[in-house]
Amino acid sequence: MPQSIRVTSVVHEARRRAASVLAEAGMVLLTGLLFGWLANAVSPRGLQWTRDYFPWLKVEPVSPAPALETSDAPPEDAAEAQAIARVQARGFIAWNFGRAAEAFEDPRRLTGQVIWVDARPEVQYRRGHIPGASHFDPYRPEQQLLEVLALCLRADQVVVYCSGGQCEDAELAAHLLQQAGVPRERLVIYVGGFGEWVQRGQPVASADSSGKVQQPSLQP
Amino acid sequence: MNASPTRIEWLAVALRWGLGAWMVGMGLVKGLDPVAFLKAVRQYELVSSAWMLNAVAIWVPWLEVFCGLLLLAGVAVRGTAWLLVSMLVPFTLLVWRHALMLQNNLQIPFCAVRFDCGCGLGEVYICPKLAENLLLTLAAAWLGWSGKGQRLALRYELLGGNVPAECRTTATGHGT
Repeated sequence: MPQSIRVTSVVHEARRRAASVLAEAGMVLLTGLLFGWLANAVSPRGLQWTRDYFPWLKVEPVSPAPALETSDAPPEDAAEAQAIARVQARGFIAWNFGRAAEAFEDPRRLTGQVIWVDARPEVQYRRGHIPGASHFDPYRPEQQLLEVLALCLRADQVVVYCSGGQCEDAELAAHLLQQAGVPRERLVIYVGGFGEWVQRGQPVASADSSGKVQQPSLQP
Repeated sequence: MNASPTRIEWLAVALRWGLGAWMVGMGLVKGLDPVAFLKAVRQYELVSSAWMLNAVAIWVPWLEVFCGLLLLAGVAVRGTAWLLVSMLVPFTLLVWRHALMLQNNLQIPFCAVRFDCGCGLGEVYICPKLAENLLLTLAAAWLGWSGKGQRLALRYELLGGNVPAECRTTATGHGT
């Protein structure tokens, strides 16, 4: 076979193989996308296609931003200062640990005038939360919104928290509660969140599978 | 490498199963907690519209699971492997870019950067993560390029079927 014909044949064969693999990859992609659509549709944790899960991105910072309400020292580290600045930029009041601990000791907590809202995922809430806190998942607000909203509307102060640090779920929960009718000035964000609460040796309650709250316990 | 075709073939099968199992595992972690993956995707500021962000968070994990299952079963191995390469390369570049941004913000060494990249393993250090992605990409590219790893494949050995000419080995007579 002449050299030129052999080269042409090899090139043709390579092109055929590439086209075959490309077509196969395309088929896998299309079938995989269909698989994903079905899996999301049947999954109880599936996402909604059109819902905006981060609506607070559109919230303009309130000017002037509410001041940090602290009972003691200024922010302890850069991460806390960053979280406080972020919360304030979104127009919410930021609380540090000292202020949160004071609020926890406030007897009004027992009468429902000061309430706590846990914005972490349900699994984490069940494992442990600040005693008396109500669970409110901002990514599935329809599950608890009415119940939590009723509590919030009766309260003078609503302390919302998540894991702390870079977690923004508390802000998202506060934003949704505000949209639902809770006055913004009643909503405060505990920026240290549950992580700091546990680290500081504060009381923790847990819920069993039925949702029943267990006795508070001290966790290291 | 002086290995016989059979040894290379078994190596390819091991790679196919390893890559497949990894993809199924990581895909399930993300797919079963889509909100966590949604938040991870959002940090890359890849897309601006909500539905596109949701689409990425919905499709990517299950596409990984699907590709992993195909690799484990040995169906459409070459196409699946190249599809994985086409997903891994841009994702690795995104992770790299985000790590550089964090390094710049935090003023720390590159390898000390640690964040949840949405890979399914929680917070990880960037250097091992990039090395892992490089290995996964190389493994997928080799499977796609060589067309090997079709021993114990559902399509060719277990259910029968025509083995592509380029995937045959002369030493064993089995489809590769």
